[in-house]
Amino acid sequence: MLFLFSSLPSEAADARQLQEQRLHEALLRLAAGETDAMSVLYENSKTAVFALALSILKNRQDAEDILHDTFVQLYRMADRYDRGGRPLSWILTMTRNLCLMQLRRKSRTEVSAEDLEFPETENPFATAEDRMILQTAIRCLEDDERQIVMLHAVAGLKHREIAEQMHISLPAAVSRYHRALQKLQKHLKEA
Amino acid sequence: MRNDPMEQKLKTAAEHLTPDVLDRILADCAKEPKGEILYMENISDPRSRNNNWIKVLSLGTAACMMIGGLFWWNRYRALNYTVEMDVNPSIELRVNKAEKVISAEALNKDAEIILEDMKLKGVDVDVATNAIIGSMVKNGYLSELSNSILLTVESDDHQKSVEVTDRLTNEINAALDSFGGSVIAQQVVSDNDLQNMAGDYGISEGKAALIRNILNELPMLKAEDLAEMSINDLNLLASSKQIALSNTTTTGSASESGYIGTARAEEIALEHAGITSADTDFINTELDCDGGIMEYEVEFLAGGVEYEYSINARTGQVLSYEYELSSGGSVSAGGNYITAQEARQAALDDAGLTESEVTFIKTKLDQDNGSMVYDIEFYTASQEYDYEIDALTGKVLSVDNEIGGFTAQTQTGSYISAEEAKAKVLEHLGMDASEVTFKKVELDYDDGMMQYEIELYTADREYDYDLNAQDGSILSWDFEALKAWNQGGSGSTAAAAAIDSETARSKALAHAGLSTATFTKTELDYDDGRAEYEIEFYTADSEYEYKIDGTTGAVLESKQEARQTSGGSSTISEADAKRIALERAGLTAADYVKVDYDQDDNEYEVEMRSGNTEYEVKISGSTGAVLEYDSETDD
Repeated sequence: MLFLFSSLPSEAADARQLQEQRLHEALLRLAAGETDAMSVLYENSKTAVFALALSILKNRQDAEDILHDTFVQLYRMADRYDRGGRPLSWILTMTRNLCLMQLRRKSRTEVSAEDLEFPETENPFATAEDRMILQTAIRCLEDDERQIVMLHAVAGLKHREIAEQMHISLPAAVSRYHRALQKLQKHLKEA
Repeated sequence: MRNDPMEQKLKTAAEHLTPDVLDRILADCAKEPKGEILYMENISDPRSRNNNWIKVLSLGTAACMMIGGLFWWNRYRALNYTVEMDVNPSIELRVNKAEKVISAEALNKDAEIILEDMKLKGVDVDVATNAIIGSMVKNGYLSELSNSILLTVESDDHQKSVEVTDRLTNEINAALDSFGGSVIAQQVVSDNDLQNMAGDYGISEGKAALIRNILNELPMLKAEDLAEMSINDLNLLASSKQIALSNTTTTGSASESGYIGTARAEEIALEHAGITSADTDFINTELDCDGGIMEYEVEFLAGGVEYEYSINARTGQVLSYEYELSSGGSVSAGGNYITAQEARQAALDDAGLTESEVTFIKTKLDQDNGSMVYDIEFYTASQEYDYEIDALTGKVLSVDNEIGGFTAQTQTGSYISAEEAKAKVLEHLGMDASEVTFKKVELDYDDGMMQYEIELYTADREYDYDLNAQDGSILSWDFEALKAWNQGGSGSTAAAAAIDSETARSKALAHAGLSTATFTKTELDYDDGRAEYEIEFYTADSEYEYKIDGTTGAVLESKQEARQTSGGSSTISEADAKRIALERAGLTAADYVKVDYDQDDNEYEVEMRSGNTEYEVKISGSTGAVLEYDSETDD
C-alpha cells in the first residue's frame, strides 16, 4: 500500500538515536583531545558522509577525498561542536560545504564511466548489484533527488531534517524522495 | 529494519562501497597541530589520476607560451609583486622591482570612480597607495562609519610580501589617522581555487582569499553571503567571532558605528522580552551574518528560561526570537505550567498509547503565537506523532500523525465516491454526519497516487484527512483545536464576512502603524468556520502577513519580517541570463528551450537542447556568473 508519509520505524529510530549518541560523545571526546574518538566518529558516519559526497560530486574519487577531508576538518573543528546540536546534521553540513568548494574548483560537466568506477578489491562483500545501484542512482536521478535519497535511505535523516538542510518544504522533500525511489526502481528493472 | 527493499539495497550498497580511509585520516590528523589553518588543497592528496587532460593542456599552454612569450616577457619582465586594495572599490596595482607602479586597474565600478583622472603609472607605490586612500576618503568609501580596508600583497617571494605588507599598512594607517582605520593585511599566493572563486562571485582575488580564510574557521557560513558583504562587515564578523586568520594581520578595530551596537541590541531584546537586565543571570551577544544581513544574536537566561534574539544590526528591528525552558531549570515566573511529564502523558492519553509503546524523540517547551506550548514527538512501531500541548492547561492543541511504511504500488481501476470517502472518515472519527461539517472533499493526485483530501470541523476541532482514493484507507490525518471564541455548538456553519476587503486592509495597515503599502494578497477564507481575510503587503524594508476576522475586523494574526535586500533580487535580466548560457554552451538562440528564475537563490536556470543533447546552465542573478553547467546526451 502506498502511504503519504514514510517514517522511521522504532527500531530504526532507536538505531539513529544510538548513532547520534555515539557521535555526540565522540565529538566531545575529540574536542577534549582524545584522538582515539576519531575511529568511533568515523565508523558511525563514514557511509553517510561518503554517500552525500558521492551524490553531490558524482565522482567516486572526489567523494573519497571529501570523506577524508571531512574527518580531518572535524578533527580541527570538534571544539566548535554545539553540545545541543544534532551531530550527524552538523557533520553532513560540513561535508556539503566541502563538496561545494570542490565543485567550485572543478567545472566538470558530464559524468564519465571512469568517475563511477568502484575498485573491485576495495571490499570483499561488495557485489556487482551494489555497484549498479549506486551508479544508476548517480546517472538517473536529478541532483536534488539523489541527495534526498542518500540522506534518508543511507544517512537515516528524517524528511524534516532533509527539508531543513536543503531549504525545501517538507512535502517537497517527501514527494521528491518517493519519486526518486520509483525512478530508481524503474531504471534498475530496465537495466 | 527498513520498509522498502530499495532503501535497504541502497543503504547496503553505500555501506559496501564506502572506502576505508581511516588510516590516512589518522595519519594526517597526527601531523596537524590543532587550531592551525589548513587550506583544502593541502589536505587533499595530490592524485595522479585523470591527468591525461592536464598533459594535453600543458602541451597547449606551452605552445601558447612559446608564441606569446616574448611579448609577455617584454611587458612584464619588471613585475615584482601586485597589491590589491579592497574597501568596496577594488583596485590592483602591479609594481616593478624599482617599487614603481606598472599599472593600476579598477576591478569594479566603484574603483573606476576612485581611479578617475589619476595617473599612477611610474609613481612610487607608497605615493600611489596614499593617493588611492585619499580618494577613497574623499569619495566617502572610507569614513568613521566604515573604516576597514583589505590590503593583499601577492608575490612568490614571501619575505618580500611581508615587508611590503608592513610598509603599506603603516602608510594606510597614517593616511586614515583622522578617524582611525583598520587594515586587514594578508599575503597571498594565487591558485586556481581563488581565481575560480573570484570569477564566480565577481570579487577580487584578495577578497576571495579573505572569504576562504573565514570559511576555514567558520564553515557553516556561505561563501555567496560573505561575497556580498563589505570589508568592514567581514572585519567585524571576524573580530566578533574571535577567529584567527592565517597569514593575516589586522591593525585597528573595525568600526561598529554604522550599527546600533551590542549594548543597544541587548536593550532592545530585553525590552521586547519584558525583562530588566537585573533579572538576567547571563547575557551574551555576538555579531553574526545570516543570508548576507548583519545581525546581533542576543542570548540570555532569566527565570530559568533561555531567550535567543536576532536583531538587525543596522535598524535594531527584532528579526526573530524564541525562548525555551532551560535544561534543568523550571519556569518560576509563570509558576503554573504543567510539567514535561504531564504534557507527555496528555499526548499519550490522546493517542490511546502507553509510555512503554512509544519512543519519545522531543519534549520542548516553546513559545507559539504568544503562548507557551509543549512540542512533543514520539514514535510507535508504525507511526510518528507530533503533538502540541497547551503548557498552561494540558489541552491537546494539535496532533500530526504520520503513518509509516512506504511501499511502491501502482494504482489501477476505479476510485471510491466522495460519499464513500466521507463515510470512511466518519467511521474513523466514530461520529455521525450530523455532528460534523465538511469543508472540502477533493479528489487530487499527490505523491504519485489519487487521493481524497478532506477537511471538516466538529464542535471543537478542525480535521484534515488524506485517503487513498482507490481503497479508502487513511493515509494521514491531523486536527487542531478550534479557538475558544469560535466554538458555537455542533455543526456550526461558517459565518459570512461582515466587513469588506478594503476595511480589512485598512485594519491591517493601522495595526502595522502604516498609512500605505504595496498589497500582494487579499483573500477571504474560512478557517475554523470563521470568515477571515488573509492579507499580505510590503514596504521598503518589511514584509507583513495578517489574518483579519471577517466579522469583527479584529487582528487574529500578524507577522512582520525584514525584507532581504542583500542579494535577494536579480540584477541581470532574463535575456542576459539566456545569452550567457547560450555562449557558455556554444549554442545559438534556436537551441534555447526555457529559462526559470529561482527567487530564493537569485539564480536563473536555462535549459537548451541541441540534437540529442540537453543542456542546463545555472546563472547567478546578481553577478551573471555560471554557477553550474550540465549536459546530458540521450541514448
